[in-house]
Amino acid sequence: MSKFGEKLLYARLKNKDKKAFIKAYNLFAEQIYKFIYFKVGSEEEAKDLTSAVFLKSWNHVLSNNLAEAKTLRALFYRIARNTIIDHYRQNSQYQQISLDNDDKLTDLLNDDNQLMKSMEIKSDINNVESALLKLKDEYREIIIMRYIQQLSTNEIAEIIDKPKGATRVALHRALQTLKKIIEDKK
Amino acid sequence: MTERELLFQLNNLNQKKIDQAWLSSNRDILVSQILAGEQLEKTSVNWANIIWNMTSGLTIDFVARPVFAVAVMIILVLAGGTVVSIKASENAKPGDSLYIAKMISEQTRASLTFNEKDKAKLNVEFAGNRVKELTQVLSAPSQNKEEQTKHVEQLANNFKQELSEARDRLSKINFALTADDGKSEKTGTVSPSTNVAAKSPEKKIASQPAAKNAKPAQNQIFGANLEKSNSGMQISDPALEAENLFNKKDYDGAINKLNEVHKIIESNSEDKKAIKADVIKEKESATSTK
Repeated sequence: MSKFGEKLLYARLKNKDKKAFIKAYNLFAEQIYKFIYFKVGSEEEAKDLTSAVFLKSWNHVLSNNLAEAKTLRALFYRIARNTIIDHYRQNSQYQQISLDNDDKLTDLLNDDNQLMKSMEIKSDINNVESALLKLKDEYREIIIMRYIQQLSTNEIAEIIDKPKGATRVALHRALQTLKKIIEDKK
Repeated sequence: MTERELLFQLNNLNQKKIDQAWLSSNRDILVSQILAGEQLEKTSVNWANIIWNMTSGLTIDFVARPVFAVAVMIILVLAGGTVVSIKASENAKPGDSLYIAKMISEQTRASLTFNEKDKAKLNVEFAGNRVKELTQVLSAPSQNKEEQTKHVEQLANNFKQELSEARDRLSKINFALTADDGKSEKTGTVSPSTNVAAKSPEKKIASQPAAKNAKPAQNQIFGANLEKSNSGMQISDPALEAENLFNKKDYDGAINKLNEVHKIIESNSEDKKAIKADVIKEKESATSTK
């Protein structure tokens, strides 16, 4: 969807337009799910939390509590971040779950890959995913947004509510830290 | 690994496939919640028709499915806040699909409670819920022992956290959790008057006659603030006892103790309301005679 289309959708949502909300769900559910999945490391939790995010979003729409988020994407991502924080508080500890389950990783693979190549990729992805979970929360989320989900620095800055410059610096540091974790593991 | 390789790997992660069936059923639930919310607000039927038309395939059968009950339950929790007690989620435990609804319900109730004492009562109630869930998790036939252990650990941590929060809130407001013993009268009157006296001198003077009329507490002085007990008797804190029982895996005993704590806070609230009312009357009569 174009930026104009997204702005229009957001405007409709602010008017409590239900169709617009469903359309927004269709547009962002997968993204939000993946964001949460890579943050918490569990499919089941990601599903529950994604449901909670959209429920809360609708509640925000009804209570006119959208003033702070300038874009629809920022709205959903912010609610997702807050929902994850609440979830951590509820569980009173971070859940570091190792993604060793091969079943999850095979989803990433294309049937055309040869076995050896697929095993190499599997192993590398496994390293990256588990290293991602070792990153501190702030770094992990911006890595997910920038390098997995391809959001722009502007969009990320809007979501995390920080200046563009600070976001760029944080991204650089996050990537270096992730690289170091992977190298230390090897 | 070079930075380029790392970026390539990260980019590949976005290829992760999502469960489309879940995405679709989640959308259906969301739609039904929006509709359910609309029904609660008693607005025009036209919107409902529009959305029903848009999401073709929804039939009356959907309404009869358990998922509809879940959807209505969740929207009632969000709309109704503290009051709605929903049977379906009451018995949910970690791992159940309704558990998130139960957690949302607890969070909603906590956010709609402003009084420290009421918040403490909620902490105690939630601690009790954690114990019940723990017994359910332990008794459920679970194929995944690792997940069971993880849930048990989370519930235990949560239980301790809730109880600790309750005790912190109560000590912050100088509230006494007490043991039942016979020497209540003297010490029982100190507690309410101490709380009231802390506020102002007039109230202190006014509170003394009120305190004398206070019900001789089954609620007496207590564990945390030992300096307030002049009797030198052995004092026990039922919240601490609940935690000890929990640690000894006597979960039924822990639940009973938590119920006791809840009752203590509840009954003391009644006493203090009566005392506060008396204090206000005294102040008004003192002001009117001036």
